[in-house]
Amino acid sequence: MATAVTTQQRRAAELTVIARQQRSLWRDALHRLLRNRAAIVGMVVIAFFAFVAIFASVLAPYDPNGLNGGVKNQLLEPIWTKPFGGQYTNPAFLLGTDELSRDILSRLMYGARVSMIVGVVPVSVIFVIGASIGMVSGYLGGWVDNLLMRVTDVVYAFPDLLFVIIIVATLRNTDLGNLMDGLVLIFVALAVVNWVGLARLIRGQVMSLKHREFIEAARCIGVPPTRIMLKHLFPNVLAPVIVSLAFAIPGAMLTEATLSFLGIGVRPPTSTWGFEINEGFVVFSTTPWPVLLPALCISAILLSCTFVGNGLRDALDPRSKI
Amino acid sequence: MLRYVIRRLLLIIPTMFFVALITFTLAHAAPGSPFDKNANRTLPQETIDRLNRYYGIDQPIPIQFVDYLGNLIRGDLGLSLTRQRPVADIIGQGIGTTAQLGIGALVIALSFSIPLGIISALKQNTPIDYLSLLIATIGTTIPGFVTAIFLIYIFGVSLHLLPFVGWGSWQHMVMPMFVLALGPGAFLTQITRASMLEAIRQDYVRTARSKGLRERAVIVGHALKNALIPVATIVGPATAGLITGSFIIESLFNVPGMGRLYIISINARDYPMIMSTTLLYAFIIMIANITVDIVYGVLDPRIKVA
Amino acid sequence: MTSRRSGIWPLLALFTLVGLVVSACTQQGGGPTTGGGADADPNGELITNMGSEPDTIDPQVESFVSEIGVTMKVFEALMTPDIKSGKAVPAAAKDQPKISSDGKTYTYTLRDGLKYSDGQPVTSKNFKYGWQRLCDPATAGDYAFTGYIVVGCEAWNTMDPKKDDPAKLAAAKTTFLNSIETPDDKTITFHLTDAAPYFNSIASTWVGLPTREDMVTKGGDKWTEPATFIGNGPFALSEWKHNEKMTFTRNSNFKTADGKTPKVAKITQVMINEGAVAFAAYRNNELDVYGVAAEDLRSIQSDADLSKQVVDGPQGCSFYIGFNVKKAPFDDKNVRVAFSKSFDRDAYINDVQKIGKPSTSFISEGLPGFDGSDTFQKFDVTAAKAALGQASSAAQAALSSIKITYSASTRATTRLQWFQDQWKKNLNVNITLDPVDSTTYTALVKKPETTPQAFYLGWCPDYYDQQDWLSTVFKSNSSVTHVGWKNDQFDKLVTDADKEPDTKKRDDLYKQASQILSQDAPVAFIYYGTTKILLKPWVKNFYITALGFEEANFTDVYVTKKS
Repeated sequence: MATAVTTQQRRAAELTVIARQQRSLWRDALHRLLRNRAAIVGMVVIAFFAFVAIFASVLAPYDPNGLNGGVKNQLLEPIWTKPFGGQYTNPAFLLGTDELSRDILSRLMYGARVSMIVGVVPVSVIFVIGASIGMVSGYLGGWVDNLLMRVTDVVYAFPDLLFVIIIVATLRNTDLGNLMDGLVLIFVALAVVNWVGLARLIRGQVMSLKHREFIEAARCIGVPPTRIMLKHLFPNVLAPVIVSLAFAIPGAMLTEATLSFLGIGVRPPTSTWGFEINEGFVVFSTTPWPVLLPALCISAILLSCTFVGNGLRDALDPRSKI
Repeated sequence: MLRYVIRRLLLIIPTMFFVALITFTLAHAAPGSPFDKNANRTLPQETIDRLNRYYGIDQPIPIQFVDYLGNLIRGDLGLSLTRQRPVADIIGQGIGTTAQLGIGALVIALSFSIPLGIISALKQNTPIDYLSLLIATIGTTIPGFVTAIFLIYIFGVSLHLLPFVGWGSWQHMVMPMFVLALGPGAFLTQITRASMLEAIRQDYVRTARSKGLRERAVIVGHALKNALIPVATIVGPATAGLITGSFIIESLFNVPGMGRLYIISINARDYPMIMSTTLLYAFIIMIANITVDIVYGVLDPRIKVA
Repeated sequence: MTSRRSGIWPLLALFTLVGLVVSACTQQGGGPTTGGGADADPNGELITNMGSEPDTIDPQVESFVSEIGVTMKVFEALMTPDIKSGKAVPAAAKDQPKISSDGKTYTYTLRDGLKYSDGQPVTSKNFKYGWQRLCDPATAGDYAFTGYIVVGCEAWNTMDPKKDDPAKLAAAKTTFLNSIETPDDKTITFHLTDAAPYFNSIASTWVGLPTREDMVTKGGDKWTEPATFIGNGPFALSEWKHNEKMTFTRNSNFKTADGKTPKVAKITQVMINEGAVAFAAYRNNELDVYGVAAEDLRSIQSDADLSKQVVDGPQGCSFYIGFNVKKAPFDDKNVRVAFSKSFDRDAYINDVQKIGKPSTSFISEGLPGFDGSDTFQKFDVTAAKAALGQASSAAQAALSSIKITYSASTRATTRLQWFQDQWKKNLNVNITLDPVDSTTYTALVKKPETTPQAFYLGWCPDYYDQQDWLSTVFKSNSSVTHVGWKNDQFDKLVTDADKEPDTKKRDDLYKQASQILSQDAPVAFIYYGTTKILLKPWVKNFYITALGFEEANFTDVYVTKKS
């Protein structure tokens, strides 16, 4: 009885210490992050695109896939070209139309949706898979660990973009490839190719932590392995994981854009920025806007994500140098 | 060390086996036959069946896989199903161009990234530093196809300065090489800057300075030599990345390399082509990865490879 | 047979070569021209774009327009389609063939003095070897079935060259070889399984070109490389930089029957996948010809120079929406008729397709068998609604679950959205769009058991004869039929027509069959594809035929000094 109380108290005390350290660590990090101007700009831009993506159906002036009058409204130029001699503008279409008379502004807004979803969903999946396998394999070792390392060898041997391409291109017309206009397959491909990196990162961290005193101590007092992993190890590997995920998000967006640019991404006519570039390229030598506008959007979101990622890295790991 | 190298090299075999297995399974999971190629002039089904039978792709997939591996071990990559020519030939014609493009890009990347990284480190936290960091961030972030389109539009379509179709003369090569060089170049700039920053804070650099050596001698003779170790280790995978990652650039600039063939083959269900290109890519990547580990061990005695 | 869209890259070659007409400001070609030439540059070079690297240029294996275009420069067939009428006229043959009274034996005599580009004389045995390769199962060619009309070809070709008994293979080969006789170096006689007036047209295609046995043996898998790709045609393949370009130089041993030789010294065909890039290259004078795509029209029309360089070509392919007559509601003829009469084809061309010509019957305008009077499927909402009203109640019930399957691309989706909209507006029927990738699509529409409920397809003929339209596609035993449609009257008419030696009677039988096809409406015709190209002013007599080739006038085309 007495022992039990003592253990509990000790554990409580220990947790408080960890919690307090955490809080100050995180608060420090937040403070550093908010002082990083590039990261702030990045966050604002991301928030803007997120807002547009969420409210695309309200904000978009037209149906993104709708044809607006066929021939007479095809390939209109953005209205700001008018003062510079643009012959084909129409105030009803602020950013102009594509070669099928669809409104570019509306398509860009809906395109933001795909980028946002692709940035969030697969990265969450990667996080869940990578974190669990990385923790287990690092903490328990043994055959799980061995298997992970062999799988890593195979996955690392594929050039990663090409691996995604071969998965997506070959499975596009299976039932899996048809789910949600092909989005699900892209999620799966991204997850399959990218979880390994995260698992390895966490495995390495866990291996270096597991012989530290506080883990030894927890093990001695009989804390079950799952609890050790979740309560003790996990918070301590979180910082590098966050940084790695912050860079995985633009990575996933870029991969989606590349697939769509190649014409093997989300199924048409769903609007995505990459696919708009693909389509716009057909006319780019005479009318560059259908290519330039989505290209600018992709560049803006990727740059913003990278700025935020850099900010997080500097904030969470002040020793890193790149 | 030798045992380590041998072990790593031997590991290539099972890894390649699994790469082959995965690719083969995926390629055959895609519906359709390589002979279903023309929607507007469909061939009679008997013709398709006859061709499938002739090329053995009516066999159960495990049997096809075993056959494929058997031929592969004997060095026979098979005939391309869409081109009816030996796969080895088709790849042989493309890989040279792809390598040329990749190496050219590497030279460009190195020649701007190392000076930029060094200057950036020496002038840390000055406008020059920030500018080079910004360029590096943009370079690693903006997709190559976006940069390529901008360049084609500006230099090809608008200014008529450079041709953007084909391969051969330096004018043809400069744009694709530059676009391809941007990503790794930007990354190398960041690496050079970081390791240079670390090097100039080391004791031996301070010692060299305090001995009264000229700044130039300190930087070139002492700091730079050590700062370039991490850069050197990156060059291998960067080259592998350039060779395996050039397919979009090849397509945009009509460069007759093998990257373009890869995607066309997947789409055309040209199984022998898909297999051979994937395996070749995987092999290049694995060799590059192993080389890094070894080179790292050789260059930096503090690191012990086990 | 059109250039292929390699699914991933929007390969413009298809749109460009199978595109259509709207603009007013085009120079109406008024058909091919052949004259002139006094101002020809004897060292002139013509540069065209072939889109992508050809899969193969082996005459007995290939099947795509760009591939065949190469072969037709390098080889000369027995006959050739007349540049104006499309009728088979003598090429390597001296005259029209002698046909036996039962119509089953065709005898051709070669012209004197024919030579390969390496100087070797061309004999009838060379042609026989070409046919032998076509039917040999070990060649594994795409178009072997066109040779099945020759006795023994089908039996031999459908054997398994690896697993079947060698003795049986040899016997089949002997039977086939006996059906083509070459009594001397100038004469070749084909024995057919049936009377086939269209055989002369087949003799004008690429399938039986005189490939050289010694070169095929010497080159093996690589015999199509320039060193061994030796032909008897107007040009010789002098260089093939894979995935980059092919160069052809004038074959000095070549002369047509009337003594003409090629007027250009060199033809270069580059391989530019991207239409936008090719267009830019054309404007940069890096290309002499550019196949116009619908989206280029506005910038061409607003450009004073470019708009003068537009040349319209003839109609070739025919595009339609197919209905699976085995599946409800399209098992009911009234539904099919209603669907075929309820979309405005003119609006479709103007608003969506932009390059093309509206169609209400199968065979393309300008080609043998075209029937301008067949307007049964014309746009008529009242008639369409009436037809729909007469449909059975089971078919009426199935109207709510119609799905139309097509090869996925944005342009295709836009096209089908337009149809979706028309049927909604005119028939008040909602249909679902079902895009699948191109390879899957081709596989789906080929097998009766997987044929979708409704689908979008085109047909491009290989030679100028009704047989290659009606019998090849819609005869019920044809394995290219995609609709599961069987009409006994139609079958009888085309079977008779295929054998009918009297041209007039034959045309009439086909015409009747074609009208049955339109009225029974297993497919709804949409438009005929046409060619629209930009041509540099210094190129003369350049012409793309209805079949999509430029081969018909290799000795007429020339370039003037560009100065």
